[in-house]
Amino acid sequence: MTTSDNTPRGLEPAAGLIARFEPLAPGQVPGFAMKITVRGVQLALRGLPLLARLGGQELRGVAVSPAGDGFMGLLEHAPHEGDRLSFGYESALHSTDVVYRALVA
Amino acid sequence: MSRWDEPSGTGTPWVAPGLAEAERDLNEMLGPIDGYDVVGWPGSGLNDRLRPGDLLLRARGGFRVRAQVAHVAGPELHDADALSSGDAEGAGDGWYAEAVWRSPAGQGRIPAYVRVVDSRGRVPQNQIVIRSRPILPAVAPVSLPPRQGLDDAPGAEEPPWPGLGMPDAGALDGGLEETSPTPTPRSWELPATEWVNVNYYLEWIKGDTLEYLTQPTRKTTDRGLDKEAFPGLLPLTLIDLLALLEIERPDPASPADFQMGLKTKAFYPGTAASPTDVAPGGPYPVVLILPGNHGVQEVRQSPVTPPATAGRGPWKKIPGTADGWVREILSHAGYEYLQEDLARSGVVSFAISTNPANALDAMVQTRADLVMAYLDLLRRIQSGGIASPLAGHLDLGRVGLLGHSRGGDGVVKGALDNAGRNASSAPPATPIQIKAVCALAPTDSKGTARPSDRPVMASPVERFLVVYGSHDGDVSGVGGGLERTGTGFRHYDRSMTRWDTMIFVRGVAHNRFNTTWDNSHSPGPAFQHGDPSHRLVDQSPYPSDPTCGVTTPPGPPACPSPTEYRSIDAHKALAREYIGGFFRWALGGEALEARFKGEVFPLAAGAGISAADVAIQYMVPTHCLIDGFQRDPPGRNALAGPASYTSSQTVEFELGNRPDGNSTIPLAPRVPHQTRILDARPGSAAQVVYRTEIPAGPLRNTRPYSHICFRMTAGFDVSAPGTILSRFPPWKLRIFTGEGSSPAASEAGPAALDTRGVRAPKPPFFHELWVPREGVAKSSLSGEVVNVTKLHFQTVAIPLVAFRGADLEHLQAVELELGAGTMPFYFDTLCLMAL
Repeated sequence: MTTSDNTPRGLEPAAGLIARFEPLAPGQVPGFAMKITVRGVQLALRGLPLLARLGGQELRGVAVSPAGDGFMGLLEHAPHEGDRLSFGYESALHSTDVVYRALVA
Repeated sequence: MSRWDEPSGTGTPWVAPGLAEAERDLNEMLGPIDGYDVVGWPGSGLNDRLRPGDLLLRARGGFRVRAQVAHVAGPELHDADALSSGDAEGAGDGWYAEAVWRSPAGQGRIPAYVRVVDSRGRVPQNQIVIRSRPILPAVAPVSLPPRQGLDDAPGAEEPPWPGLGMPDAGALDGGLEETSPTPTPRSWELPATEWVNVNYYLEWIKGDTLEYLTQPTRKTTDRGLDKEAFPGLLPLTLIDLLALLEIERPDPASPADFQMGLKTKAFYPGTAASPTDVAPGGPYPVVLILPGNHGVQEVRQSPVTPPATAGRGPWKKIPGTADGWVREILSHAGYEYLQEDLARSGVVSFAISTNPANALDAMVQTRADLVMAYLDLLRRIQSGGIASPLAGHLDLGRVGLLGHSRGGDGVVKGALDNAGRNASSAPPATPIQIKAVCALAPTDSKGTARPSDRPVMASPVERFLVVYGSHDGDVSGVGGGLERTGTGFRHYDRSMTRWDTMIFVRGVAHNRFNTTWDNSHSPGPAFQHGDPSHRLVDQSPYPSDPTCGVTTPPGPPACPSPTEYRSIDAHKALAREYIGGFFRWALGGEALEARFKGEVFPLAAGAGISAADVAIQYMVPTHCLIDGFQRDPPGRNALAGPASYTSSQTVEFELGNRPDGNSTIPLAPRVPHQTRILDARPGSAAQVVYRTEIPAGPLRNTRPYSHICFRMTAGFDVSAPGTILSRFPPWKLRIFTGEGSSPAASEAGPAALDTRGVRAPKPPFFHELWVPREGVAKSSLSGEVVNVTKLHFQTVAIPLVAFRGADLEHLQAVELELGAGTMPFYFDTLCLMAL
């Protein structure tokens, strides 16, 4: 644990999460290429919105499940191989061990 | 007819004539007295420490007109038990001050200890404590043509007793004669869920543009409601679960869509004789209460006990399980203490469920649409379309909104949407007029959008109140005013209603206003602070830390100072007096405006929150903004007069976005505001850092106003409680007045500030969060301590008459001078107000 001046830092990646990357058909959700669903978290349901990012891309429309055990979000662009998921309520997001890997046919 | 013959509003019939009598006595003894401040109203606590010379007036022989007068000789209060029987007047339990009784003839009596407050800290009903004001030159009002920022004739909202402020709510407590019986609070609940087709929005800010999902929709597929997106423990899809709880359901007419369920419980002024009758005297103003975001369901996989629990719906068996049960968390049931108070005061309130938005983690627009749906419900209740005792008893021309947390964002947008609907080409047949809005610990999730996308509270809403606590552990303001999600400070900074007020209260948290929410985790009152970013501070297995009497996580800091947290009862008292009082004033017409310009602190002594805990900002209807530092056009103030900086270290900036890169403190995370200000830097000697000119003409006449005001804070070192200085940097405000080209200067400094009520400026309120690491078990030790202490602006006021010798009809210029030092001084909203 560290004590910071104003933003969290120095945190370890969260582990044990399950993420589903669901490509969206054109027009299925207009403006978006992929939907991400994450499970295995324990989130407080609070006034602040959850923020999430995959690599350099911010997830839009992030919504926490009613039980706080998961969340979903939308990506405007297809992610890059190796993009890592991070999320959190405060401005500095917590890194996770979830990394995007494209399926190879 | 003396000034005291005006209605007192206290319900204590002896007060006004008693004061008049006392004034005559004092005039005989001491010469003319110009006015008083009330230090303690009957039935209320003292709003300031006693000072030698304060006057205690006591109704003689019960509630007879004539009053006795005692001069307070010492500031200390003594327990009756600690005084010998010969010293104290023997008036019973309570607290006594040394005082000298005066007879009308002027002879002093034997020094004695006089009972000032009772054992609960309240001034007895037959007493009042006042403080004489300096004898100041009379001010004659002068008419002025209308201009920007000048709405009302001076004094239109003035208290009827000049110099006294208005009586506070505490003075209205029992034991008084009343013109009509106090209504008995009665409740009514919507008998069945009303299903409506409210859209669900995905919304976000991209760059500075507010975006929604292109087609606002309630399609189940867009939320994964028809899939096992979050299977959890249940064999149900999410939409099945929510339908079981009557929160959301597939639309019977279009099963691919879903509908939202409306639920509400009202409290209204009733009668003691009937459980349903509405008290005579209506129609009554109405307040809608929106809770914030919270969990919507509890699940058990074991037998449950059927008895009802406050704040929870009934347990329901989950189909397809052997012993699975679920019940709804009723966030909207958490404000009944406030609703009952409002009902007693003649205000009907409807606490409304926003669980349909909570279940979807919706942000603002879905909640605003729910407000509109509930307004439609009000119309149906009023018209008898829904069977209710309230039909015909609602005054839909006097409606208020209270929103907590995300509900605060929701009520601001809802009020704007309602105004837009009323002004549209197809207005509703029964327009609803939202007159007053209160945002309690609100999120501001749209404040970083481009200006046109930011919600701004403005007309036709007439009054806006923001209530926010320094120890909010959810909407904590971490990161400062430039963060994506901000706090109520930004709502206040943008607001433009006729009367805006914000109180920032030390030790007040987020969840404690809602009795349904998670407020008490662990043993002992010091641990009862269930805000999300506090939740790990007090939980086992953390060892006890005897140095601060709390359990703390291992590692620094040793003590997170939870003793600063005010009790749940203190939060309730604050809500009753400020939020309840706000609607009683803004909608019910009670004369409570003094508390919303800081002149009176309404909580009783012993409530757990004192006047020293409250920092206030306000802008009253009768005002003239001299300089808001917006600089449009450059180099000009709000009156188009020139403004200049005579210190090279003085710059302007959007808070948190310093252009000079010369910050000596990490300002952005410390400042919760969203405004442009004057950042004044002192030097090694006193120097003028700012000067602005008032254009020639009627704008120079200050007679319609009583005070010159501004917002201020300073660059305190807030890294630890001990580093926060108790004083602000030395400053002076200098005004130049007169008709000629060589105006005379007169000045006033901190000693001239009007410090009645809560107006004295407060240094920062220290606060650290324990931010748990999300995404892992809640019991994890992983997390971090984050300092979220804020440099908050507050409005300060200097009586114009404090500028001795000034020609107040010809104000030509204003200067700000800083004394020698190093601490930056932040200055904004220079204005004149009629307080």
